Amino acid sequence: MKHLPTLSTLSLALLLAACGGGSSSKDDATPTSEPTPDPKPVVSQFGPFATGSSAAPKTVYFDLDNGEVVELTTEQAKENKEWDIAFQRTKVFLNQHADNTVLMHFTANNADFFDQDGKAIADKFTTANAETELEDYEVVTNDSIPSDESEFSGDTSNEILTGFYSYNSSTHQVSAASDNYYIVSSNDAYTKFSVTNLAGNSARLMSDIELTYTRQTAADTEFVNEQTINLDLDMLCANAEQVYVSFEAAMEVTADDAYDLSIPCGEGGAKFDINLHADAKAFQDFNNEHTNINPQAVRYYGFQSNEYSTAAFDQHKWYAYNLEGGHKLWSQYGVYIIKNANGHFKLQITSYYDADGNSGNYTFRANALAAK
Amino acid sequence: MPLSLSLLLLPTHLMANNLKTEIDEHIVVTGTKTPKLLSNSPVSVEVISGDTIALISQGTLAQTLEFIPGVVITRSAKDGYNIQMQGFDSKHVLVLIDGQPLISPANGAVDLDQVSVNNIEQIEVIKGASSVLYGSSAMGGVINIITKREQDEQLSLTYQISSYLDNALKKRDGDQLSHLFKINASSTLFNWHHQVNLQVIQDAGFDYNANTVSHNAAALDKTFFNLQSYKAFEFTEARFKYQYFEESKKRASSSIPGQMGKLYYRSDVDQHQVDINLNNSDANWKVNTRYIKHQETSGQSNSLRESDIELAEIDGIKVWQHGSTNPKSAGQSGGEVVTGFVVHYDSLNQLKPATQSVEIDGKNRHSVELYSQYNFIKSSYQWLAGFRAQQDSDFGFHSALRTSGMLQLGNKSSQWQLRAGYGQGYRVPDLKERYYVFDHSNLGYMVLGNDKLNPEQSDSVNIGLSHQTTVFNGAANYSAELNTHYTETDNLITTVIDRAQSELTGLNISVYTNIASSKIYGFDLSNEIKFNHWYSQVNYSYIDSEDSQGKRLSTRPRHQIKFNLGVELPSYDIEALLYLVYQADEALPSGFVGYAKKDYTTVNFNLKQQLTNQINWYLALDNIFNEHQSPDAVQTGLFDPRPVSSQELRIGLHYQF
Repeated sequence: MKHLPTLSTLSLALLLAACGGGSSSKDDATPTSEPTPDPKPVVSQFGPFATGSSAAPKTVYFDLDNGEVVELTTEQAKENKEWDIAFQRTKVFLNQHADNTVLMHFTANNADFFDQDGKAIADKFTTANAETELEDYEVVTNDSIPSDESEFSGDTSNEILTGFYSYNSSTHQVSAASDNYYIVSSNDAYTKFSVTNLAGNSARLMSDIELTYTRQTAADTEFVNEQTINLDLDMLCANAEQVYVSFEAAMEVTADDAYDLSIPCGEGGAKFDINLHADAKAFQDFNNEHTNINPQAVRYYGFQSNEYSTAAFDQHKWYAYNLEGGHKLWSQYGVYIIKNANGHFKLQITSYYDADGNSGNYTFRANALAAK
Repeated sequence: MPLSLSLLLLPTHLMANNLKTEIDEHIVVTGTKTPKLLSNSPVSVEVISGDTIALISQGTLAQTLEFIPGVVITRSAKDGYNIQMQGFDSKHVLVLIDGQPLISPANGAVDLDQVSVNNIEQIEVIKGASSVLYGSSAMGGVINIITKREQDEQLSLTYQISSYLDNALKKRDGDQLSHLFKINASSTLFNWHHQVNLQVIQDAGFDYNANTVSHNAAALDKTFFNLQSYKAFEFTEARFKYQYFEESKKRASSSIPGQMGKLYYRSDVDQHQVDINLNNSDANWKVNTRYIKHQETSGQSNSLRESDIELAEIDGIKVWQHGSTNPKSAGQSGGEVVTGFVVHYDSLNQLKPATQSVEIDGKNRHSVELYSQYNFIKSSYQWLAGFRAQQDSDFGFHSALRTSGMLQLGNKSSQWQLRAGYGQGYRVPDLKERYYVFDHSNLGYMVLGNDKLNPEQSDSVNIGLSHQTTVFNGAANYSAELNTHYTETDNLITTVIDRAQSELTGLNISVYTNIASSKIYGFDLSNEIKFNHWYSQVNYSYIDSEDSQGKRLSTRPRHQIKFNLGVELPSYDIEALLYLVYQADEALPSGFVGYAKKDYTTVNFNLKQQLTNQINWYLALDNIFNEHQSPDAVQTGLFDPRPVSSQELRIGLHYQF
């Protein structure tokens, strides 16, 4: 595997050969002493790759080294180190496999496609095309690879209910981070809570916890009715593997009840973890900005499951949406430097459509960057 | 035989000619389902005559209805046209041909641009709730198109050529002109009278800016074919009617991001309609059957959907009369009972062939409806009360009530009429609202139907005062009318975000839901004066509305003025008509940041000259000042209420053999 550098070199050789093949006999008769111009850099284009329909989405896993799609199921992809970058409808993912942790650096070209407020400038997007943006791609060379590794980022896996306690490294004391609020959507209501009191024990586990919260049910327009739940975790964990909490009941409940949170138990207390119910979602409101949730705009709050992935491409979106009506996606023609286990590549997404205008069909440029 | 009874089976155009009074008069059938003199109808009815239709029409119902005071015509996303009346949108205004409904392919509404006005006797308009006689969807009113039945042998040809002038599409083949061709023929064969009407429209489409990829109106081809045969037997008249409609549209809508090609809005429609009617003049009953099959492939070229719509309906009506239904003196009185039934079936199948995603999986509904209405008639007043019951396959039992009255004041040369009425309306959810699965999850959103929807309901009150008299020593007729209306609606169906499903899927999921209530109220004030050779009418309509949160409903102009001036020059056999439409002050729809314009005026001019007994020609300049929506303003988030319309010059020639 990992033949893309070879292919690129071969392509370059063929290109040069083609140029040479085009020489006429006149050239042979009249040798010139003019310097040979720099060869035009090779640009490899891939796609369109279909990511399925709305009803049946499909993830396309792509191996940059070989310049080819790797056919994998979702489960196989988790264990596979061949692929580097994946496309699933509008989302772009990077492999997080331990043996091929792929990272990305955004070159920040075409920053003028957005105004000072970060709003897309429609004309910039709609008049750009693969041809006009080729130069942006070509100017990215191995010299563009940042030497600072921190300039690269990868996809990450996270838990939404982290940060509910503070650890003082001087005193080795743990305390409640009572200003770190979480807003939970579960059981047809929203709950805004924080951990307001927390005590540890000698087993380095939680012995007591106090949750303070307000709720917004379907009948409310904002969070109301502050309540607290105090849990003696030493006692509750004595004969249990998990402690289950219901905001509606304002108490500890069983696993068979409609619980919202669960706290895993250890030997002699509870672990420093709080988990969401599988059907619940939450987001962090650490700046305490939200006094209510607008049900019409739930999609825009960023509710997440207990465990979720953050895609590096989400931080530097490759497209703008619905700029002139019609719900279309317009590429920003951003150039990304992708680092995998074998080297660096540049990548530019040129279209989300095939020639007939069917969406979800990725076309992109990708080439290996020679090592410094 | 009482007047209305004897008129029941007469062709309406004959009646209109024979019964013309000193004050301009029409026979109307829509208000009570029995023929009435317009001035004697207990329900207020407005009429556009066949002559006016012939003068102003551009081939379909769309521009023709623009002429009616208080009516708002809007252009749909499918490049068609919808109607709005008394503040109700097109889903709540029932459009009928000869008293029976049409299919509604345009998001639950009839596309007015798919209805030909070739061979129309007159169009009758009732504003306000009419569900007792017409059932679902008649909350805002009824438009009934009465087709013409030629009695003589005749053949006529019409050809029209037109141009959108500066907005004409720059076609590669150089043909920027639009064409319209009509042929009407009638003849008697084997004791049946036969009538054939063909209308072909080739419209070039228009574009405001040749430098943009998108065009503003589609180039289209339409064909309307109509064949009807009828024969009067001893007691019964039978009529068979077949209509075929074909339409093809194509409009560049945008470039494909990152590709060289373009996206197009496309629509290909194929529709067949069969009517069979039986009338019994002695026993005063009629039975009408209608079957429509509509197949359509439409949408953006990368997302075409196929729709298959069917409608089948049988309706019957029986009229009983007593006393004098056309009383001449104060001591006379009479009445009539109109009772009818309707058996209705419709179905909808919709899918996207490219992805095989089924949007509506062959769903259907059916209903049985019964209604009865009693009209008590005295020379000085009338009173009317009715009831309708509907048993629906989806919603079970529903009913509606109505009562109204009319008081006649003054004398024949100076008439005053006071009409007042209360009516209930309802609209059953259509199949799309119940079963739709619009899956754009690849772009982050879905729209879903809801099979638990209930019918929308309304209560309306209408009060009107009209006056007709002669002025200038009898040289002119003058009429004035003031109509006020107030409607409260409940259970309005709209799409709302489904919170639970949105969170679960990470998509923006909207679901059709019974949620909204609203109030719509306003008035129409009209004045008309008619001299021998010229006439003029000015109408002002005011509409206001509020939803359950007190916000105004969008897309409804608060003010509308319609003005027309008609002139006849007998020495030159010329008739000309100038009319303008002014609309102002629509509530800002959601999604817009401000107004590009708050009001606008369109002006149209039509002229027709009879050259010989066989030949006439006509000229029309529509939208003289080229008032139209600014795509640039809309692009920047500004709301522009002006129509997607264009200045157009039309010239036509008509030959009558």
